[in-house]
Amino acid sequence: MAVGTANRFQEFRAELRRSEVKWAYTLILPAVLPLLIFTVLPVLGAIGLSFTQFDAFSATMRWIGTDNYGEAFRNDLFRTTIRNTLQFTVGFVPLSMAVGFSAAMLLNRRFRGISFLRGAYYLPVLTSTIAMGIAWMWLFQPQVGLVSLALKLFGVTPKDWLNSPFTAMPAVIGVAVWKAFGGTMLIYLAGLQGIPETYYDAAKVDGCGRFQLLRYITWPLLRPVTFYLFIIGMIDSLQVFDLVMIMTEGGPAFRTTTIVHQIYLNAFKFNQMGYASAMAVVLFIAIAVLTFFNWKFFSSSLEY
Amino acid sequence: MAQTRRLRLPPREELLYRTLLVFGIVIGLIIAALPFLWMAVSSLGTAGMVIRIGFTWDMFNPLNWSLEPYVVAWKMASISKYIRTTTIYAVAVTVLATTTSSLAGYVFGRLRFPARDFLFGLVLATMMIPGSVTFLPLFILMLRLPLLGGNDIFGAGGHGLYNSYAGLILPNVVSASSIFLFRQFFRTLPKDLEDAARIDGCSEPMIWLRVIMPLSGPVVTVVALFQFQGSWNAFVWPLVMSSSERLYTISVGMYSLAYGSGSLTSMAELFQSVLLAGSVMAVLPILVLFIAFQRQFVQGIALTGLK
Repeated sequence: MAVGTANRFQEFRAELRRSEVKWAYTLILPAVLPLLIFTVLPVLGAIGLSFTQFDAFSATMRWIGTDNYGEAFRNDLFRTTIRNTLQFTVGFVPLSMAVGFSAAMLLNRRFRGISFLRGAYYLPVLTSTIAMGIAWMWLFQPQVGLVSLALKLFGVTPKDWLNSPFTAMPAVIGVAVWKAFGGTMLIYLAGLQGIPETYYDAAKVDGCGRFQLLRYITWPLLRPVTFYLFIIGMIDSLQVFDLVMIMTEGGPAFRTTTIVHQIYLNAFKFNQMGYASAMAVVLFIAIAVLTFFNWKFFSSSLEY
Repeated sequence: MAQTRRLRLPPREELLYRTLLVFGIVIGLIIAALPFLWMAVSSLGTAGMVIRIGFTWDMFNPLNWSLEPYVVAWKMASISKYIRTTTIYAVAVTVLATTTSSLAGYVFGRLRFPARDFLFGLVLATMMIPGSVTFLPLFILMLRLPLLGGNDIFGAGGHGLYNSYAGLILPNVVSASSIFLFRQFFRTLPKDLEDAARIDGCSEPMIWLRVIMPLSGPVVTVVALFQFQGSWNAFVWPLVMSSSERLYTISVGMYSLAYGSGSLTSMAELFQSVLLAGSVMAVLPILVLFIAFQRQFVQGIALTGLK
């Protein structure tokens, strides 16, 4: 009798296990299958296409080996593209982090209306890049735009900011920073709230001033956050596209064209799908390397 | 203890410090908010005022405001069409992606099955693959899907899912980062809950629907909000996937308006105000959503560390 009950119980458990496994595979299918088809497969597709000359509309494909890569590295425009993208990165990453950090330091306190202020700082992040790009084009309007009017107060002569070779990229970087610093701020704020108050108390007992608290406690303890934001910022910078499309269309004279902009143009305007894929693969490798560093850092920093 | 926390400088420096603080906060607020206000005010100006005069104090006088740019944007410049398409797209993506991701998050977070860690690793790996790498091959894939949209079994002859809602929506029916978020949250729920349901003969989908989801309101809200916000603003994918105005999302529509390929020419008298009115309408739904759900948006950032 007792043996029979035990058997039945085990059968019931085995039955439950079988049902669990069956359902598990069924229920992840609508998530895993699209990821395989729409994310993994296209990466393999990009790698494959990068060795071909391909026309999507007539579907004619010719294997040309590494010619696309050779072409990219000989091509002046590709070099300009890389330089522009790096210029954007060098401007955008430190600025968005510095502004975001300053905003976090300003708003890391409690008073009435603080969440309104944080919300206002963060709002640009959520809005459409195209819509706000249009608003900023109007702000950069040479004669009557707010930027020209404001700078005139400081004696700067107005110019066609988005169409001058020396100001177009800084203008794009400025708008990108405006649009992103709220996100950086929120992540820094989360980091600041994770620093135990006792550290500050101890340092104050030792006679530290405000600046020393920032220098010796806040900044070192936020290093993981800073590193994370640095890597994420670079990954985002390498892919800047929307803002360039709407504000400058890569101009003037290719001064603001970027990697993704060139991928788009080559694929959809010049029908050079193979060449565009080669650029996408280069971009993918760069992002994979950055992701690897990020992962490496965070899996090793867990040790202490 | 509480007293030591407050740091006090000598009165003069303390006053200077506080002044600088307020000054900084106000400057930040102006930088963040001014473009929105400027955009809104300029969108209400009548043609001559905005283009020829630019900035005048008269612009801030409500008596000079006119809704004409909005009427033109809505009717002539097809903003109504773009908003409709964007709404369909964003709602579909939000509902589908939240559902599939929470199901997968439930399975990865709470069930045991062979190859679970491998499959979850695969999901995590796809998080690092950005859309800017995949949009081109994905476009070719959608264009050449066999047996759809006039294509034969080899994917030749027709247009596949190019220029269709299915083509717009399908690649976005799941989000790896949402799976991750759901999994992390589901793992914190006590195991007894679903065991009780399981003993009572509940199947796994029923446990997900009746036990897990009702407890997950906050995380569902966060995921749905970010899905909606992301797809409302989507640009690259709708840009390459749609050839007819009928399928333009608001960002693609505004882009085509700005560069003259839409139904409004840049020569039109109201051009600038209409563009700005369209931009206001593109931003407004997100603004309303943000005001209603600010806490959830902020929590979501802190939770995921994603911007």
